[in-house]
Order: sequence, then C-alpha cells, then structure tokens
Amino acid sequence: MRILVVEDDLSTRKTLFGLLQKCGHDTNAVASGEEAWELIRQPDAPRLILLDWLMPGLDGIHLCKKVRSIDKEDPYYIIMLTVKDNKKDIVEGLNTGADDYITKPFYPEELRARINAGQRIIEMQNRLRNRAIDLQDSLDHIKILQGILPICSFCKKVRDDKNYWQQVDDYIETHTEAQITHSICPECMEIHYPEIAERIRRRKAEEKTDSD
Amino acid sequence: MSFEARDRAVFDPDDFIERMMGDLALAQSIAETFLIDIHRQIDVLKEKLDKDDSRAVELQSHCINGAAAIMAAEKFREVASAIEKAGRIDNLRIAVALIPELERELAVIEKEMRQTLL
Repeated sequence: MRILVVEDDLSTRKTLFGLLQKCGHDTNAVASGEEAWELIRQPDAPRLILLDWLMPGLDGIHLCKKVRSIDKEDPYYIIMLTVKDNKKDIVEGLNTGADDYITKPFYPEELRARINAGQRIIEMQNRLRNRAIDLQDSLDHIKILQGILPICSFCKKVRDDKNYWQQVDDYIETHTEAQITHSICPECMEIHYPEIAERIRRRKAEEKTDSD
Repeated sequence: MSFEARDRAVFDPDDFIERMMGDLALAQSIAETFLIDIHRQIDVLKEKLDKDDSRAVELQSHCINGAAAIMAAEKFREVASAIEKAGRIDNLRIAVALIPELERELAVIEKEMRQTLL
C-alpha cells in the first residue's frame, strides 16, 4: 500500500516512516501541508494519507478540506494524527472529512489495524469503480433498436435516420449486435430454384418411405 | 504495566522498543533523532516567545508535545502541553515561566535514554 505521511515533527515522522516500512508499505513522508498538497495533486499520488492535524502553514484541517474538494473517482482515505485527549480536534477532523484518527502515542498494532481498515476501504472502492467502468463499457456496446422503422412495402428496404434506403440485413447489422447469416426459405426455394426444391422434396419422401 | 502507569514513567525503554515493533536499531535511531531535534525545537520555541507570537508558540509547543507523546515521555509532554495551552489563551508569561521546567524534564529524559537505550 502506498501511504503519505504528513507530520511536522521529525521524530514522529521518522517513527511512522520506520513502522510503516517495516509493515511492508511504500511510504512517503513530508514535513508540511504545502509539500503534501504538491504530492497529492500528482496523478499517481498515494490514496492513504496519515495527516497531522496542527501544523504551521497549511494545517491538517485546511489540507483535509482541499483534498476533499478534489473531484476524483477514487477518493483519498485520510487518517488524522492527534495528541491524546484532544477530543475537539478529533470531532472537528471527522466533521471536516477525515475517515479515521490515531492518537499519539500509539502502538504498532493499532497503527497497523487502522491502516488495514483504510486499505480495505480503498480496495473496495477500486473494485466498485472497476465494476462501474465494466458496466459503462457494456452499456456503450449495447445498441438498442427502437422506435418506428419505415420499411418499403414492396422490396422491404428500410429507411435509416439519414434518409437512405438500406437492405434490411445491412440495417440490422449496422444498428444491432446481431450478425446475419444468409439462407433460403422453402417458399423462395420453390420460386427461384424449383429443381433443387424438387430434389429436396424427393429425398425427403424417400427418407420417409425407408423409415416406414 | 498498564498504558497509564507507563505514561507516568519518565521513559520506559522496553515499552519504547515494543512500540518500535521490537526493532532495537529503529528505537535507537528514533531516540537519537528525538534528542537532536528536540533541542532545536526548544530553541525555536524560545525564539517565538521572544517575538511574542502566541500562535507560533502554540504550534511549536504542540510539535514538542507530539514528539514527547511518541516517546511516551509523559511528564515532559505535560509541560509542553501547558505551554501550548498558554499560547492558545495568549498568556505568554505562563509559557515563559514553564521553559525552565521543560528543559529540566528534557534533561531527565535524556539522561534516562542515554543510560537505558543509547
């Protein structure tokens, strides 16, 4: 999992970086909200952000608001970092758009559990987004034949929306996913190929006699 | 030892190593970083106090508060937290008065860390 740590205190930043690397995460750690914002705006930015709340410059609350204002199909998962007992920050953070929080000091098990929860949400969002893309692709491929279709009473050609008259088979192949294979019905066989129709008739009569 | 009891200790090296996932080298590296950086941070805090900048004092002492929390140095953290609150309520006289206590607590932690971990 790619994770962005935003923390102005060097010891905390180094601790989070070390622990997350040990857990096998690809971690990027920056010291300010401004640096984080630069990274977050990149197209391949990490989607899980561990964000310190009170920082000089662009602080956690303002960075969180900016991140939430990004119109993105796959949203970020933000875990805010606060010093313990700061309930006001926690409530404000969650109201602003943070998904979860960790208070300092934390144990690695707690950090791991909260990161795993975030990873599950991100993976679920990825699956949903992929399903939506697949569904849209399917819809884009489906062509629906609907409405009134003008057809010539004699030759049976069909008039398209550009006022061209087309053979009915061409029209169907153009406007639907159906593929036409050509054949000859018994009535047309009688009219256009009477010898072959006669041969078929005879063969069927012989087959019937043999079976009787 | 409970979390609360551990919190009251000046510095508990076993607990700290446990929180670094049992990685002694990582724990030592973080402790070294803390001891170098925290002196710089206290110098920055004093500069902010000299400039009478309450908001900057609040933010700087918050940063020290966070670092102390990571090290589970609770007594040191409490003093940093009191300075942070003084900055928030714009009473820098209290903040200035707490600086010697902050430095005393840091000296205690530093001695403890050097004896038990570094």
